[in-house]
Amino acid sequence: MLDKSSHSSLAPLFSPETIPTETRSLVIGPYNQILSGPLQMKLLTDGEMVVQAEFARGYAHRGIEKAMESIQWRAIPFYAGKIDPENAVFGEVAVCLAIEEISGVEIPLRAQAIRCLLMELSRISSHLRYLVGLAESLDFQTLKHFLLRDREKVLDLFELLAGARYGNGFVRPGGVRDDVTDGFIERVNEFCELIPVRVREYNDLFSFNEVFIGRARGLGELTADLCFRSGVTGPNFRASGGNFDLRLARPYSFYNHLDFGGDTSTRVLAGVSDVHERVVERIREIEQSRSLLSQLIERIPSGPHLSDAVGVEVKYTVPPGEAVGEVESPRGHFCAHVVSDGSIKPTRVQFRAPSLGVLQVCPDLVANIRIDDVFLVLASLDIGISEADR
Amino acid sequence: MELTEIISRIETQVPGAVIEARPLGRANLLSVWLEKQSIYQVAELLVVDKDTRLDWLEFIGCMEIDKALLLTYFIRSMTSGHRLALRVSLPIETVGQKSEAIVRAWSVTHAWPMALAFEQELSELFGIYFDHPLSRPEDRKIVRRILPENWVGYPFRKSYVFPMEVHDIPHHRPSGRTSPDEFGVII
Repeated sequence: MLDKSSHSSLAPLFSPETIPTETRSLVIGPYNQILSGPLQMKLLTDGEMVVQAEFARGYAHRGIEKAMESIQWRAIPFYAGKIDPENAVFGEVAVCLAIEEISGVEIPLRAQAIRCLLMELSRISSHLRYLVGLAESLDFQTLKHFLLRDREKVLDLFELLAGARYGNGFVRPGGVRDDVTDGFIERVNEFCELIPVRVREYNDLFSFNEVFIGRARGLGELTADLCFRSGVTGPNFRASGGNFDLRLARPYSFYNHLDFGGDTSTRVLAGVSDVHERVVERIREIEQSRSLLSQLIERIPSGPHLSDAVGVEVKYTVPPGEAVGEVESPRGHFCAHVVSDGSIKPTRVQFRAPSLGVLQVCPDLVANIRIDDVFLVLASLDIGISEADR
Repeated sequence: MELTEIISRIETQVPGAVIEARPLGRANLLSVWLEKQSIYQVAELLVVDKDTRLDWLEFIGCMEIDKALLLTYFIRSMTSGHRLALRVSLPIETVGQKSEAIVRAWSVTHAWPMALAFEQELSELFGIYFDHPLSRPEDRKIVRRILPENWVGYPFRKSYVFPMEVHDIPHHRPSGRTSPDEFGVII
């Protein structure tokens, strides 16, 4: 209860020491504005501080892995793209890499380069969408509109290439559906020239903005050890001091022909990342993707875009066997384990979604922070609910 | 350390654990088939041993083949980059007319804490209880996290029969066709 003798001034009444509080439970969601999918948050709060948190997921579980056992092989890459619609191309490439390994098909170099082009464009699009979510959680409308303006340019490129702006289903076993359209490479080049200008703009507006730094520094600290224990990969792991990027560790597609610039192992990191460090890591990766795109434009080889060994018949089958296709998605290490018994349908297709590990660390990260910071921390982790629930 | 040395070390320290070792598909990845009770000790050995240090679990694969659940642990060393796949086969015991018995396997979270998320997911979708030495008999049940609490059966098993209605909402499936094979989806 309040001590009425202390009512002489307002300051002590509203200070955290004197304001009466009690532990309350607060349930948010499952639907919310910040995350890309439904996730229910059960928070135990004391005043405006979160004491304990629990997350309930499964609201976006569609049983895609089970559904894949009842559809034919040629539809599998399209279904894989629906695992995470935001980064559809990564699901498609992971499954196609596995199918190609089982079939023993050699992929033409041009097709590999086109896949890399698509993946790096998609990575930039995904990181821009990530920054939009973060700007939304901060109610930073100017930045949000700037980011969406630039993301539209990537979606325009997808439309030019595949006819669809989102989940374009361009990758297929043996290569890609079609060769690049006229003017596509030139448009990508124009976009690459624009990125450094935009990155400077984002840095001025956002990453080096004192107001943002004041709020984001020291918030939602994720240690490398916690990443390791929970299986967190991708930019979150790299921001925390981890040094694993599948594109470098086990290069796939055209990545072994590309120079990633500098020795990433020499980067000095504190072994812990906060919201600010995770944002900076994404902006750094946008710049890295631009460098890779520029190299791809220069080095894209001529030749066929689809392997002759893969037929286009309706009853396309994969020989008996199994393989794991792996890609570095914008959210982390994405795997597809594909098993075939030689029939027209797969025996089993299973995915490793990087967001599953990130969801494990969320209760630790949102404990002992203010309620209004919860969404900022969650937005900084880039959780794909769609891929975690599948 | 070579992978063949790792296998001989497992055989020395956990006798009878290794059933066979063979490449996984066409990939340059060795799969080691283990006796199902030995995975708990082998996991600990591979992490603790200074020479192997296979300390990162990439993911746990699971599939049903010939009335058995096949678990595959894809592991990697963060220091040397070595990779290995461990495989354990868990027979499904039939209870009466149905194959709904929970399968018990050893948990590997003591060696690879990141296994928890994969084990929780596989547990409710395949009906596997991941056991550990301190578990009590009353704990040995499947906890629903993704599916509704009252969901019946383990949907990722081949024997699973799709319900004809959920929460009084009928499924739009042709009558009499309840499994994916019978449904015969052509896309």
